[in-house]
Amino acid sequence: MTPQFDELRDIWQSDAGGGGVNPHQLLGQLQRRMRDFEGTIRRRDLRETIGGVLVAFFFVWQAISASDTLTRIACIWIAGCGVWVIFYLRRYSRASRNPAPEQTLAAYRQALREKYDRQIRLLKSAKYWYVLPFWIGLMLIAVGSFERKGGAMRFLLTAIWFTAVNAVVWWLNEVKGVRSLRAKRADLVSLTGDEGESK
Amino acid sequence: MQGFPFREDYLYRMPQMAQSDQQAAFLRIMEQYRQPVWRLVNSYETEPSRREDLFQEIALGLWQAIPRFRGDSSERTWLYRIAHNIAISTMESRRKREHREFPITESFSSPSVADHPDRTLLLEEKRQAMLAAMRELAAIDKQLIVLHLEGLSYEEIEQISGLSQSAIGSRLSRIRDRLTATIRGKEIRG
Repeated sequence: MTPQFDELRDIWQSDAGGGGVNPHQLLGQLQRRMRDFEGTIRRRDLRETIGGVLVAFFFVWQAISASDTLTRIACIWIAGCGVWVIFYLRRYSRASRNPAPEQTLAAYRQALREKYDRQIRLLKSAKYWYVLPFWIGLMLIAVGSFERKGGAMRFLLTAIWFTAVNAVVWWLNEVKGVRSLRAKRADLVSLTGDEGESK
Repeated sequence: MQGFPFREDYLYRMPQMAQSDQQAAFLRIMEQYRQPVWRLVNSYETEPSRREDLFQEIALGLWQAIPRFRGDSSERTWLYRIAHNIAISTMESRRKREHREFPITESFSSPSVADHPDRTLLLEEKRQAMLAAMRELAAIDKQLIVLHLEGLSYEEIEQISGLSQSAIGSRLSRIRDRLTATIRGKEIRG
């Protein structure tokens, strides 16, 4: 016998599950979960802020105790970079939040894809807002040290080291990070079906 | 630092609403819709613990969304939007965590003959076959058929999905044929 649509609906609605769910109990669980979650967010924000402040404080202190102007400028620059990066991350962290779920299903799928696109753009621009400012600060320190103490080979090795570290950070963001995000975006598209068919 | 520090949280500014009103609305919604939501969850997840997790995720999404509900749509279409969208996000997060494909072949616990009279057992077998076929559908197709089976009109499905009624009609026709064939195959094999 071929089931007709009414039968499909009967089969579907024969599942009377969910009866074991106690809404009051569920509400209690959710409220506990929300409290825990908010606590986690607060602790994370605090950790990030303390980290940024410590970096800034360290370099300001270095600037005060520096014996030459160039090193002093470099240390203040790096302290500023620390504050800038914290601000930038806070400012753009919303890019990775999930969209509000009240939208239509088509709009939500689109918003999820755009979330990845925004994250990819952020990572691809990390060389400007993250890598380059720190590299400039570190190179100024190297130049300051060269002017103070001399030693061309030492300067060269230091410059290479600072550049290599920044190159690794650039690679982690713009190559590895972006590649991973693109794979996740493709996975999302395969999960949700077509790239967005709407009215 | 490895990459940008991604955050996976839903964190929105909550409009002001009395906690007691929010609680009352939540309890009423859960009383009224827990079975349809449970059926929806079943179309996404097979393992009982994951079903409970997904149900709780949806409940959490509803709880957070209640203060934002402005009555622009009916409560039912609002609820189904949230439930399906959160189901998609949850499945996506789980895929990211597990880094593997979904199992296509499902392993449900077979209904016990002792617990079910013949008629009920047959119905249960058909339901499981139907669920297995539904879980293999693309997300949007699964969402459409769930809404249709729950008895929503094309107009309501249009409001929820964002697809046109003609697109909904043609897709549903194809999905119904597929489900019907699956159940018919089950009957022949059974």
